[in-house]
Amino acid sequence: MFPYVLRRLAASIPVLLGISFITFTLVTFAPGDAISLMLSRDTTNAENVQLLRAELGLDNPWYVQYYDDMRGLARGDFGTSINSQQPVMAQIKQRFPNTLLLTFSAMLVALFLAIPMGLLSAARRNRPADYGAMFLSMLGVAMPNFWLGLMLILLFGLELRWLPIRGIGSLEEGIWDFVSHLILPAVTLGTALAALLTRLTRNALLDVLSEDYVRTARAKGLRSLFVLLKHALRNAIIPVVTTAGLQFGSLLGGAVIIETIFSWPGLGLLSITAIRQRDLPVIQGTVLVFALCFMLVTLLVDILYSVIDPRIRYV
Amino acid sequence: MFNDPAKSQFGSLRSRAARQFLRNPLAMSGLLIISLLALAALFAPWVAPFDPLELDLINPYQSPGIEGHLLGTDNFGRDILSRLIHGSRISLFIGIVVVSIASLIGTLLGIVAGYYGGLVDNAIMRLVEIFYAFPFLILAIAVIALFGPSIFNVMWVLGLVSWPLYARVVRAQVLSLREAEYVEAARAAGMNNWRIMFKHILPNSLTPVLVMATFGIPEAILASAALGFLGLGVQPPTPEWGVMISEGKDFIRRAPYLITWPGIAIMIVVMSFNFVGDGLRDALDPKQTN
Amino acid sequence: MIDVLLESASVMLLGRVLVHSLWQGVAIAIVLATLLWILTGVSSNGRYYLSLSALLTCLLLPMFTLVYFSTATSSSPRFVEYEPIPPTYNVQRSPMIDQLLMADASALAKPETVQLQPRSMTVRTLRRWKFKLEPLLPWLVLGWFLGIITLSLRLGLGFRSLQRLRSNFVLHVPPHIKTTVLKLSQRLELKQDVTIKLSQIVDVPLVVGFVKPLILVPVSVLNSLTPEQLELILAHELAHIKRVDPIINLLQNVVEIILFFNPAIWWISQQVRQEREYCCDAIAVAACQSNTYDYAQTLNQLNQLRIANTLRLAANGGSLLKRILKLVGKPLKPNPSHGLAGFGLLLLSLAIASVAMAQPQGGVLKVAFESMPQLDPYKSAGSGEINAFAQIFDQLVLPAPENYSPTPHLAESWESPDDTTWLFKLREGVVFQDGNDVFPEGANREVVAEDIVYSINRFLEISTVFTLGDIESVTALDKYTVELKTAQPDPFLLADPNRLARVHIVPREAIEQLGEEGFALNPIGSGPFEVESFIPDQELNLVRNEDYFVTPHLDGVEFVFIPDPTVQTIAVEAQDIDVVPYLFNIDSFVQLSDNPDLTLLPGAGSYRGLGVNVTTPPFDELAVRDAISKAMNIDAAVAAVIEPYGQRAYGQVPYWFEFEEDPELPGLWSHDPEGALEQLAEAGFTDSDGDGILDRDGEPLSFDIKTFAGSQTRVLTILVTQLKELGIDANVLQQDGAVWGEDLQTGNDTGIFFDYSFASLTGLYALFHGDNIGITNTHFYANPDVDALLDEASATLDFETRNDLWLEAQRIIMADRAAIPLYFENGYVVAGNYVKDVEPGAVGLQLVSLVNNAYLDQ
Repeated sequence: MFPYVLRRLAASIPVLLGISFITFTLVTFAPGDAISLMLSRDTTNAENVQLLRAELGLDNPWYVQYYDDMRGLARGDFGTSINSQQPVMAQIKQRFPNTLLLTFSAMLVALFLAIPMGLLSAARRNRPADYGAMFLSMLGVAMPNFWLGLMLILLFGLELRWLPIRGIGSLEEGIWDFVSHLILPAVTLGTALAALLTRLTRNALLDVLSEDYVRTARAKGLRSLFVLLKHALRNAIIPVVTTAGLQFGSLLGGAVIIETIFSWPGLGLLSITAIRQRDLPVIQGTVLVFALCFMLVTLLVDILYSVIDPRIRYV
Repeated sequence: MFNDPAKSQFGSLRSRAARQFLRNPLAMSGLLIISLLALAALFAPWVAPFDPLELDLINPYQSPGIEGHLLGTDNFGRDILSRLIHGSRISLFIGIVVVSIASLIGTLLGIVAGYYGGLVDNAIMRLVEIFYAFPFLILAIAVIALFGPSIFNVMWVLGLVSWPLYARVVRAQVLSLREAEYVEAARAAGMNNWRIMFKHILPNSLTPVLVMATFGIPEAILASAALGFLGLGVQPPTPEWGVMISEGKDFIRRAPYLITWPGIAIMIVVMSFNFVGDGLRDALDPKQTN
Repeated sequence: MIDVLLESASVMLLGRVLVHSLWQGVAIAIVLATLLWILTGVSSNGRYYLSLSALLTCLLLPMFTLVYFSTATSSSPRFVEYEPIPPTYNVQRSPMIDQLLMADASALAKPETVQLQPRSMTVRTLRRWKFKLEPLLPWLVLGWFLGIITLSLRLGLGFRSLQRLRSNFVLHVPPHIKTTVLKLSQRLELKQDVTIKLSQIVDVPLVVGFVKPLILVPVSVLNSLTPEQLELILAHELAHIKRVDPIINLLQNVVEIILFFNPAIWWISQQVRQEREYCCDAIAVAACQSNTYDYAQTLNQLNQLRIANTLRLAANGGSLLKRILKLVGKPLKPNPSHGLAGFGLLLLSLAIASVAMAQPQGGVLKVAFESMPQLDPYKSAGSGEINAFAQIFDQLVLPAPENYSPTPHLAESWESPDDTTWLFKLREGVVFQDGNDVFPEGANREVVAEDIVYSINRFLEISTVFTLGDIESVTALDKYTVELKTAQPDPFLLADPNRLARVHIVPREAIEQLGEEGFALNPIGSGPFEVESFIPDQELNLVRNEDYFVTPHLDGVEFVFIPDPTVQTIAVEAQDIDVVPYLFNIDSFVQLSDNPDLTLLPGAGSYRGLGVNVTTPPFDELAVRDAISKAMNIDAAVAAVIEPYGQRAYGQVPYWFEFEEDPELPGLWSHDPEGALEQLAEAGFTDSDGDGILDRDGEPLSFDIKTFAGSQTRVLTILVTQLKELGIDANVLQQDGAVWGEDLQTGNDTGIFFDYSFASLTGLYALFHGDNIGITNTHFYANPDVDALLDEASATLDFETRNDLWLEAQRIIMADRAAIPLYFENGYVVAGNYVKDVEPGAVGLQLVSLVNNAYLDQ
């Protein structure tokens, strides 16, 4: 097990290098840099801005810049943001927990919606409840999440005024402040996953229900709901959890757009702002953190998989 | 030359699958909606009641149903229904082109990786991993922010970020087919590698690609709408659905239907494709039970 | 010298008259209030004349007192020895004040008998009061004088701005309105000729002028009211003219100024105004044969466009609720607290202290921001940061809210001994914020000349955002005097809000101890609010600086992170935040201005126009550029999208800065699609291949209008649609900001138009001067004549000459079609209507200054 994890981690290094190289090339060779953006504003001290360009090393040839970047990265230094002239690491450290909070909450929302609905659906197979749940799930997958976000803002933020529509809550202001700020973005982000997982739970349950040992259990006269919960769900949960884990990456990606809509001060928002401002070090840093996160989660899911299902062994 | 058992197997599978697909009500209704949409998109100028770009600055924000505007007018007084109809052209077009690009690149690289194995396989799979781990929306946003938003850029970027899935699946298929008897036979008969790949292996690995492509189209439509929403996709005044939502969000209180209609349109299309995709998968993949 | 003057007889006399006028005014007010209460059912006209006579009495009574005193003093010397006389004031002090202070009118009539009456305790107390009061009298008179001068100045300035209203930004009215006015004039039997004009800057209809009254109607009213409603409003204004109200109002202003210290006068005057509006309301309803409910509806709509200016006779003067109640025939119930209020009034006027009204204190103002990566004022200038800098730091000068001319802030005064030298005298006793890592609580670290020198030098060295021009030297002459020398005469150093007013004063110790990075996260200034907590791009909490030279009403300011402009507007509508400091999307105006819970405060805006690289074909041909300007109906586009939140521009120089408007400019532009096509045909552009697009030598006339994402797409969409109709294949291309910027600086060689905005005073120089090509002159326009004019103007201190040179340069540039100006867009602060006394400010949201102090009225 342990060597396997090590191997996986080692394999991620070239991937990260590749990602950083792609990001770097994209930003460096594309038209327009942070300085030309500054210059295009109407109130700019052109002389000092040009000095800044030299100071930041943007005058150097690209390979020198890339080499400098990589040397910094090797030392765990993401460099300094061009726009704010603050260390990128500090910005990421401060934003990353917010994104994690959002994605985990969305994941929780998804699981809490999906498992009961999937259970219901499977238990009432081909009955109105099943059709209803499946229709909702189809709807959830098909809905653009930014659109759902706007609709929720319109309903709960503007019409009913029940929930705050922007920003992150503070625990100091009480638990409700914290939770209420989280509800809309987490639901928006989690809906698509919930829909996916509902279907998955249902199908996995139906698969398991057709297996012999469940039939036996039923034949033994065990109550149907009990069977469903005790035998079927335990086995059906494996693919659900795995998929949920694998979907974590797409949740991270989705967070980019949800954070924009709900003014959630996370990594996604940071990266979008950085892209708009051509802040290469920040783009570089956020993209790498996203990628690293994604790979770690994939690895974690694989390990988890082996823990849940002892039949799977990694060597 | 010699009998290719896979071919006949594929043939019988096809007729069985067709029958099963035709019996699937959801898939059929999805197909019906898509066909209708495709027709509307094709004949948009004749179907749409108004010119989607025609401004009527005196009558903006008309409620649905007034003066022949079935779904109302937007902030420029343009007819929303006509814009949706013309928008379906763009969305369908983007979906199809993106999936074509992605499946083409993915299939090609997948076959090569699976067939040759070794170093080639390793290199391609690393590339797949890079694109897999890259937050796809950020990559798309970055590319479009840098190279400028246009329908063309949207298409190739989305194509570029979604090929790895195809590559993986095709590679897995190829790995299982590589040692198949008829491939061995072809190799023994001295057929060259490319011919084997494209004549014998490719047709047999296309089934999952077809299913994936059906699911890929709605995904591409959603992604391009998201980019349009961020102002990085197709540019106004082109009536793309994401752009319509993005433009309408400024008037969310005054005229919420500016964003509800395009949202519903996206949902209907995506759902239809998903129905068809489900139907195809159920029909083509014998292992799948429901 | 001044002592002698102050103690002179007439001054003492005047002082006494003033003191007496206080109680007289109060007495009259009480009588008036009682009468008005009794006469609740009487017509507005009667009540109006009653109030007016009360006001006149208030003015006449002191005159009588004066005459009485002067005769009494001279004719009653025998009272002199009757009083114990304090040694310093020995002459002509009338004992009569004693009796008068007893507030017994009969005492006035029979002065001789009074002294014979035995003194009660009250009288003695009053006498003691009197002695305390007596030495104060000269100062009271002095204060009164100063008050009158100030208020007269204010009145004068008000008149001047009103006069300007007559000619600036006015449009001719559509003929149907003229007919309405004529019809109404006849109905009201108005002999006088009345002119009516549309104004782009007033926001309620009003009458200006006495001899030749002019009715100004805001463009917005024209659009938002029905013809019937408009007729009512016009009738109301005509009624004012018919009743010679403008002149009476002027007299009223005079009385108010003379007796300004007496709250009773203000109350009476208010009654007059209110009754006057009732009268005109009644006339208007009668003249239009309308019903009162429609009128009430009209008034209610007008209220949304309210402005307070007592000089103007506006159709929304007086209390709106009362007016509506009056109209619909509900009698106004006398408020039982009126009697108490009268008593309070009496107390108030007796306590000669200032009349400053206590304003609500406290509360935290929530302000939205898009981005705020750091807080070092020299290192960035996003709108978020700028609004924070304005609270944390102070500058030497602050641009005035009205016209952005420099006003004293940290610098109490300044002078310019020669063309290149400026001497600034600092306000004494201003201290840097304390209770932080650098200055412990109570450090009392004063802001002195050395700090200014340090700050300016640091600014010159590192500011990436703003420039100061060519500075020769900056020196501290003494603790409170700074000398600034420029290399050439520089008229813009103070006048341009983007120069000296951008140098925020920072303490050297803070930067040295905290380091550049540390200071950017924990900035310390001398401003009205200090940083409590700051997380870059997430939150900023400021608390009141108790030591500030104007104590802020607000407890603090919370900057709230909302990166999406649309969400900002949604949040302010949901009252989740209080202020959106800058409205990004002009389209949101319409939606927000419909919301009665919000106020839109116009502030400095920006110039918007189309530009082109004038060296790339086919735009290197003047005829082509000109034809494109003619092909577009800019007026229609601007009217559809911008008005009334901006106005058509014919040149680049924004109207809110010092330069005057050039009356010749509008004549340079026209909308003439046929002419445009002819001109293009002459230049060789015809639709030779029949595809509906003009072409020349096989090249279609096709171009993009580039704009950075989200900026002004609506107007551009309309313009592009117009061009397409003429066979010019124009498209809107939204680019990413950085790509757009680079594209423009490197020559925009696809010869494509772009949307460009510029907000600074020296815009012409930056955008069109040959020296700035490739930096800010992205038009690549170089004209030696223009350069010479601009250079000369930039070194000319005399305003008239500078103005002439500048405008001449502008005419040449515009005639050359170096750019096609579209409109000036107002910058708007959106606030909940409970947020009071906020100034949009030219250098960031101005919450607390010498002229304003924001508070929450909840």
